[in-house]
Amino acid sequence: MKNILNYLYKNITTLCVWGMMIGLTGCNSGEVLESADNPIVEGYLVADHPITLHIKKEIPYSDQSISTEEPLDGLDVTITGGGNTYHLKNNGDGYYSDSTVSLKVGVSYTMNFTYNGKVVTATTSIPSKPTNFASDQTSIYLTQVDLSSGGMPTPGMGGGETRVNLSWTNANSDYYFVVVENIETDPEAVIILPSTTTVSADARRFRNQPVQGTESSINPNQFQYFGQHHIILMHVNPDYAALYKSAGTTSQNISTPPTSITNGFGIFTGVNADTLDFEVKKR
Amino acid sequence: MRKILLLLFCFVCQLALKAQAQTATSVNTTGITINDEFYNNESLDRICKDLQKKSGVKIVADSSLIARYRVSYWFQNVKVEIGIKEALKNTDLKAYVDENGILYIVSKLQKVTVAQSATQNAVYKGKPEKNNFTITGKVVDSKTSESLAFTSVIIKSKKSGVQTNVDGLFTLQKIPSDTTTLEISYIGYKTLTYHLSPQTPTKDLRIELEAVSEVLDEVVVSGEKNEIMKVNETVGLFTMTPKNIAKLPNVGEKDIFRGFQLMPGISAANQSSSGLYVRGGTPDQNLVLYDGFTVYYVDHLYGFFSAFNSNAVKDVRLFKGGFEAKYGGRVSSVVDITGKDGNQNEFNATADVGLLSANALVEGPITKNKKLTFVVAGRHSWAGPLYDKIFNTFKSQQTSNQNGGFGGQFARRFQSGQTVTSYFYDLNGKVTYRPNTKDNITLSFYNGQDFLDNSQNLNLPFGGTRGGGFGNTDQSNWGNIGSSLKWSRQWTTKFYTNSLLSFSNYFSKRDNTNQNTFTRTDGTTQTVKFGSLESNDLKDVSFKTDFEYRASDHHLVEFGGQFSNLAIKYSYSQNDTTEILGKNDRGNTIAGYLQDEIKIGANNRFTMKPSLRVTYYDVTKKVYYEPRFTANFALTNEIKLKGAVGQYYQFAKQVEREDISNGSRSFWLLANNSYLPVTSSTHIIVGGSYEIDDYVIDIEAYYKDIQNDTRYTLRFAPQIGRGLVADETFFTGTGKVKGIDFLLQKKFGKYNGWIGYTLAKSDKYIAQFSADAFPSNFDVRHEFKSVNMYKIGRWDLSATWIYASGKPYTSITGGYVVKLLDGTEKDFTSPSTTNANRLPASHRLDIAATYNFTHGSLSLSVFNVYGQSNVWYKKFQTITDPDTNEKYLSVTDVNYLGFTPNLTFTYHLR
Repeated sequence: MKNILNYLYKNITTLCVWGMMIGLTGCNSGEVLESADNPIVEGYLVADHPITLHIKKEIPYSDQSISTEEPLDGLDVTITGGGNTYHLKNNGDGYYSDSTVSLKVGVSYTMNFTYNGKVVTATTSIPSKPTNFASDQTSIYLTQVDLSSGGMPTPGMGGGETRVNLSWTNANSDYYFVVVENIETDPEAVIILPSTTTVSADARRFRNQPVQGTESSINPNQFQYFGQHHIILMHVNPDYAALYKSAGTTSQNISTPPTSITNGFGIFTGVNADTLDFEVKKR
Repeated sequence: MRKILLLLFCFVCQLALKAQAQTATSVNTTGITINDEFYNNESLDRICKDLQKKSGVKIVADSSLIARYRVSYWFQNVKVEIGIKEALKNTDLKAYVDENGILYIVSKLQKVTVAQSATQNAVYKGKPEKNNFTITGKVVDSKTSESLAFTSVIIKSKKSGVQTNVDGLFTLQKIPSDTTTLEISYIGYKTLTYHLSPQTPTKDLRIELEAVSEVLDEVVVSGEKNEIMKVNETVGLFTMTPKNIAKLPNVGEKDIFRGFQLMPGISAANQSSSGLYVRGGTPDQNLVLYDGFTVYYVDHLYGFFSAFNSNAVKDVRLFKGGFEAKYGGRVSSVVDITGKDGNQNEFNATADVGLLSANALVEGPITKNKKLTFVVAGRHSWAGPLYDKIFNTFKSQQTSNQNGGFGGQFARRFQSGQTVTSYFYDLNGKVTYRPNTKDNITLSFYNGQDFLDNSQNLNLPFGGTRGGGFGNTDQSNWGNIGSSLKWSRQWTTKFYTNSLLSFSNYFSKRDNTNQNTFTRTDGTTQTVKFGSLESNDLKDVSFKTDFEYRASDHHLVEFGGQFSNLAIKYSYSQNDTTEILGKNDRGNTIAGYLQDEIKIGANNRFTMKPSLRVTYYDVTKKVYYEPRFTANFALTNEIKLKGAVGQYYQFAKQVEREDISNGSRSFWLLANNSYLPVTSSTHIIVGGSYEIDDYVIDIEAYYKDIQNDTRYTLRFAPQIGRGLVADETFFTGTGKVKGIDFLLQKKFGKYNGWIGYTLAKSDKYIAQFSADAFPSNFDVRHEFKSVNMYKIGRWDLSATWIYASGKPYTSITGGYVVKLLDGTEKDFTSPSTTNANRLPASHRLDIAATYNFTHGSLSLSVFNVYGQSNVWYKKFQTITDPDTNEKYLSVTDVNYLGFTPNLTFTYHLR
């Protein structure tokens, strides 16, 4: 018996080595593919503005071929709200609009179209315009930093500016967020980069995440350009805020943010805003 | 906290050094040496008193008797007992030392039976004087006097016997005669054949086992067992010697839990958790006891190591299923760890230095009479290349903060580098007090923590009066603090109790936020955070008493009670203000159990253990009955059959989160009456083993169903425009696991090791996730393990090879991009059917070579020798082609650790 076991043991060890070889050379993709043909809607309804929607196809995943994002044209998209139904005009590239309508606060708007035999719908309403939006400063001075001849900014350069504190009324713990945008046609940068720089030019816009509070503040260092700015306070719905939650993009963690869209993904939500003017002056 | 621990450590070290100065080597000695004392024709009584006063030796003698003798003797660098024996040479007195190191002086006429500390003895040639009698005793390590728990003490002729309890005590009944031979065996120790004689004491017999030496192995000792792992006759039970784990390949730290992962039935293809996935169960369904207190989380460094320092561990037992009613509150398995009590004979110190961490242990007697011993062990990671490699492999794949707070642009340009201050440490301490042979009191303490920092901090490049800055924080901090106070007593030869008061705290914090701090013009500072904050805190205060009544040699009745108070807090919030989930649960369980080990038939061939556990859980206000039954039958001396069935309940459960990719992926909560029901499970196991000479074949087939398994996800939160409701985010389902574990082990010899194979299927059914049952996350169909060890001279060579078929994963059907209101874009993916896909099979070869010398060893270990890329998970991203501006999906494999060598140097004082 012992011999048999000995034999068995040795042979299994050999088997392992074979298994190892197979394992090393083997290929096991084990992929099960499911079709993905969902419409993705991007629609922000803004008070007193016309309707604009962007509709595209979900990028299907396949390990065999590379697919790219494609717009969806030729759909019959309607928006119903306040007793009216608007048929949106397809402008190509997946864009749909109706410039005749002016959207109203408090009205419930429903989007509707059919794609692949399924009715895609979503309902939202536009939140109220932010109230008592104020800034403690209307302008700040910044010193231009010239790095065109190289070097890095060192502590002590510039200074003296305090943060720009913003406040608004928010009785119901709604979601608000702030976007700052430079509106000059040809703005002058606060930091002049060397012409050989590989750093791309800064965006003219910056923003925070939606918060449920009543205040926010801007660090003066965040202004990348001199000149006139708009500080926009947006009042958004929770489904928009949900887009900012960490979204999983690994097989350990796949999630889509909750959406009000049935038979589709994306966002269809109302937004309202108030804007303050702000100037960044050159010292 | 760290400073306090360091101070404590220093204090204990000092204590130990003091103890060292006062104790000496060898067993059954007083351990005290007299350097220079001269007595000239002095009264023996006065000599004894003088020696007691000066050296602290404990001498017991009749004063009136010894006062009659006057002796002359020069104690010159001699042990007290040797000196005294010399001095008594021409008197009619004699001296001896008992097992507690106390020196007795008695008349030569008095018959003395010393509780002998023999490691081997001769066969008694005379006729037996007693039949059918009982012996009680204790099994200890010959070198350290450390008691050896769960050692088997067998009557050789009957092939049946008992196991020592956790204090190393045993009661062997119905011994046929006092010339019988006993066989005492424990893994990692030489098996002792002990021949009884009429002079053998029947009470407090002290049996010493000699540990297997790594160095002097040229001499082959017959019957020597040097197994790393032992399959037991009991269903699903494995035991392991922590000492021998060092011979297996390791990455930085020898690890008990990684050792267990080499056994069949325990998943090995999981580098990111040292927790045990036993037969389809999750780590939280595995009860981990360390010196009696429950440890709720066992991972160090993203789970690459377990939280237990194997240097401080004496014994580990793992029940893969079908465990007895003594253990409760978990539905899958049990790991019962007993820490070392500390060397009773002398001070000793051990240190390991590897590329990942440093590890030190000190132990020894505190008092001269050896009644009080201590052990302290500490471990701390280095910030070295190996730590960084593991850290970088497992750290969070940072994607969640890309749309951070104000300052994204700013951050990109002035990022001033990353500050990483990550580490882990753990500390074990234990003090044991043995006031007499019956009582044993221990106080055990454990503290371990991990701090992982993956943050990016920005110093403001512009100084001036503007305070503050921008930071991206990603910190994880988790750990355990546990302590137990145990009192056990052997009341009579038949009755033993073990009472335990324990405290255990698990905490985990994760801060993954962007923050802006700034100073207002009025001087106040404000911090605004974006991102997520998570914290989980569990406190468990328990009291339990176990009673053991050895009614006859056919019945071992055990019963007991346990009271536990659990308080679990969990909070998960986003953006400072929004608490998505906040829980503050409290609950009590009161449990009682009764079990009887019944041995029937010739040579006790049939053993069965019916048991019942009854638990009252005050949250659901219900009583839970858990009947269990195990049985073994020795068909022949070689073939044994075994089986178990049982019902199991779990009240504190870890809920797996689906929506985060890293850090603590699961959190502890207390079951309730509604959306978090009490988890339950039924186990059915049948198996058998065949043992011949050096070989064992062991096969177990099992079926396990799990009811009320809960998962947490935000994926299906259906309502927009209102807060999340708890019962919409917890999803409960069922699970089914079936499989066969196969083991072929070569136990002894220069070459030893084992082959393990598991064929298993683990399914889950959660209605909201999928209309049909889907494979569970840990469903691995085939798992093959080969563990090989070879001893050649002073070298220990080992190689392990693991193969596991692919784990399931949820893929995506597609991806999409949404343009946000500020013009930036964000990626999203939509999931496919849950776990419908399989990762490729994984395999890995690890090797190690250890060179042993008298005071330690040097070990080179290589992990993943051929650098196999084993896929951990897949990452999906939407990529924009810079030229065409087209968006497409990219899928990347994120792999586990590749080729990683490690060097460990171990040194021990003795």
